[in-house]
Amino acid sequence: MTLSIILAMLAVTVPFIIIRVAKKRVIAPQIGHIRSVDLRAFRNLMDPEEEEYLRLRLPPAEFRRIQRERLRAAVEYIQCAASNAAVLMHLAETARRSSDPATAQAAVQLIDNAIRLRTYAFRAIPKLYLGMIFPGRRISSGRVAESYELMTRQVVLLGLQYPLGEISASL
Amino acid sequence: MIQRGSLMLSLTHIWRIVWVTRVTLSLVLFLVIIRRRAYRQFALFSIHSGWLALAGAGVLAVDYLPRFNGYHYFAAVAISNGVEAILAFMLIYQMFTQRLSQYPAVRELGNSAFRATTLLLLAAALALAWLSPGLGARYWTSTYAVIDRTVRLLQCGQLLFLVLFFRYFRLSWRSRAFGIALGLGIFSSSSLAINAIRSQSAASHTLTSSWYLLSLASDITSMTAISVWLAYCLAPERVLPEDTEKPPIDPGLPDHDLETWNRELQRLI
Repeated sequence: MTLSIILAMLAVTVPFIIIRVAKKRVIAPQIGHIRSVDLRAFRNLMDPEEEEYLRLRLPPAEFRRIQRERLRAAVEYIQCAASNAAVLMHLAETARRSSDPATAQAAVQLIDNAIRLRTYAFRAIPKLYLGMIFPGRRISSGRVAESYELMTRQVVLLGLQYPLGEISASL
Repeated sequence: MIQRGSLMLSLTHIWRIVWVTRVTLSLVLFLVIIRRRAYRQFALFSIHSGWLALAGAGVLAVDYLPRFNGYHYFAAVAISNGVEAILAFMLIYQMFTQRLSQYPAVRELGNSAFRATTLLLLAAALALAWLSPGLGARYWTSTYAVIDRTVRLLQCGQLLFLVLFFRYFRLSWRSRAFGIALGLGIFSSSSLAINAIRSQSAASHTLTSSWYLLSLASDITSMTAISVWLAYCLAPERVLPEDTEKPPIDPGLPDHDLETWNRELQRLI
């Protein structure tokens, strides 16, 4: 009986969750939400050689503490890149409806890559959290950095055909 | 025996009025879909709405005509809800695949995630059916309530997955597609909530005040879902987020952008 009551109460929340998610969607991401991502720093955080160097030089407890901090920073970078991808997707959605086929094509490519980046981020973040729990474990961030780099190039290409303002500089 | 002026009599009257209104509203929705030619864009939704109207009128007829008995009524309700549930599943899957077809980068992941979610939900629903079987005295009504609860649980889960997946990947909705999803969400979740209570009620098949109250709640929420569909069908179509949005910044070319572009172009070359 209790299980059914809990189920009934949970069921009632479903439409509210749908509305809440949709409401969030209407508040579209703005250019101001773009945060700069230092890819070099990110690559450094994910570099296995760097990790190996720290492992050899530091006492184990200190290494684990530092490694956790490094992974936490990497998560922040990835979250930032994923959030930038969301903003760019929103802008590219507008550009996709452009009457100019080249602009529309560039926008489609940008959307495609932004989605890919968010997919990589979705897969990488749990791995990084796992790495924080087990600091010795070898962690890969997948292709987040490459995808982000490609995305910034695509923004530049799209910016040549469509007014994106200061976005490429912000990335 | 229902006494004149009793609470149960008032509930019966209110429920019958709401029931007829709900069926009328579903007929209106189907007519609007036909008139607005929405079936071209949402064929499956049109069939779903057509079935709701037709089955609703059919069940109403079975209830009012004296030659049909309680068993006929139960069979009519079961067939009506069964077909509606199958159509709703097809509709959810179609909404998902249609939207994904425009985003090839996420198609494969989306399809795998949808299948995995469905399997997980199915396992959860079956576990629930095992742990919390119906308490009704009659086998068929009790089994029906549990099956319906399982089906609605799956639908609610799939809808939530769909909405959250689109949210994470920032895939835009057509407003009508969102309206359909929202209406289905109201429809399935209310059915789930009511059936979860009904499957545990020993008196689920007898005409008590609580039976009428649950039926009334079911019809009111169904009416709300149909009203949502009607509102989205009558409203002009737009894309979420805003379709009419202007380019975000004036088309002027800031000087420092040239520098970035040159650098990026050199990298590309």
